[in-house]
Amino acid sequence: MAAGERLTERERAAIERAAERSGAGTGLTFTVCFADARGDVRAHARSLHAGLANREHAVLVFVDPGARALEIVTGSEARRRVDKRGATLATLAMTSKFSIGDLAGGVVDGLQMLGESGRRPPVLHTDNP
Amino acid sequence: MATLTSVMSHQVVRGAVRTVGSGEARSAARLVVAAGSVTIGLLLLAPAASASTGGPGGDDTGAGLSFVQTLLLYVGAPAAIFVLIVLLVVGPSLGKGPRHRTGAALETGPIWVDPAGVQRTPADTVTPDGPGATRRRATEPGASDQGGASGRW
Repeated sequence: MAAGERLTERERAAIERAAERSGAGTGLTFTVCFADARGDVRAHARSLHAGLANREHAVLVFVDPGARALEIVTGSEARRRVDKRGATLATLAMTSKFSIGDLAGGVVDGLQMLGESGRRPPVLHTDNP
Repeated sequence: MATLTSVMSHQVVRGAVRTVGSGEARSAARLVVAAGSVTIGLLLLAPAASASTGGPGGDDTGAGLSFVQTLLLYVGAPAAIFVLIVLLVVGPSLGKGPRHRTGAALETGPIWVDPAGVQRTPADTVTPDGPGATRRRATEPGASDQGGASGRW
């Protein structure tokens, strides 16, 4: 499968760099998938995430450009590092870039924000309300 | 005081000795600049000098411009500058080709960017063929405690 017409080589390299950097900073694995979900986007993204190796530490960024839908799925360990709040913030940053047609730039921004959010050490000694 | 002066002069002499190679080049460059500016000045003054000898009171206005010359000078030159600036502004993004239109469906199959190499399912078969495939994998252990967020644009 050629990534050709949707992502240029440079865009692809930028996304890879961002994913690697966020992964190195958090100890999680960041994977990006652009695909046509054909139906329930959330369920499709969750099933893709469930098919990843080491899914407990995996963060999947799933983008369906046709449905204008974005999903961030985190594994059971990854969600302790990248919580709902961090994922939602990244989602907002990404969709604002997507809405001006910058698919790759939005993904790069989102990966950086997810990496920043996951770098925060988890607070285990307090009860989160 | 005398010691200070002697030290300073010594430094100056040493500096002059050290920079004697580059000093020659610098004085040559100075000569070139001076000669160039004098030549340009003379060239700028030359038309005025010839005009002043053209007629009584310097009212020799010359032959005048033809229609084509006028057009070139007052329309062509500004238009050329305009086009040049537009090209400088627009040119770099013209070379990149069209951007992705978000909202347009993917014509290709799924595109994975997976530097960690955690993707197990082959890239061409990740699109589920039916709801059964999704349900089966979603009920695997670990799928229920997923987190994350959704967005639409």
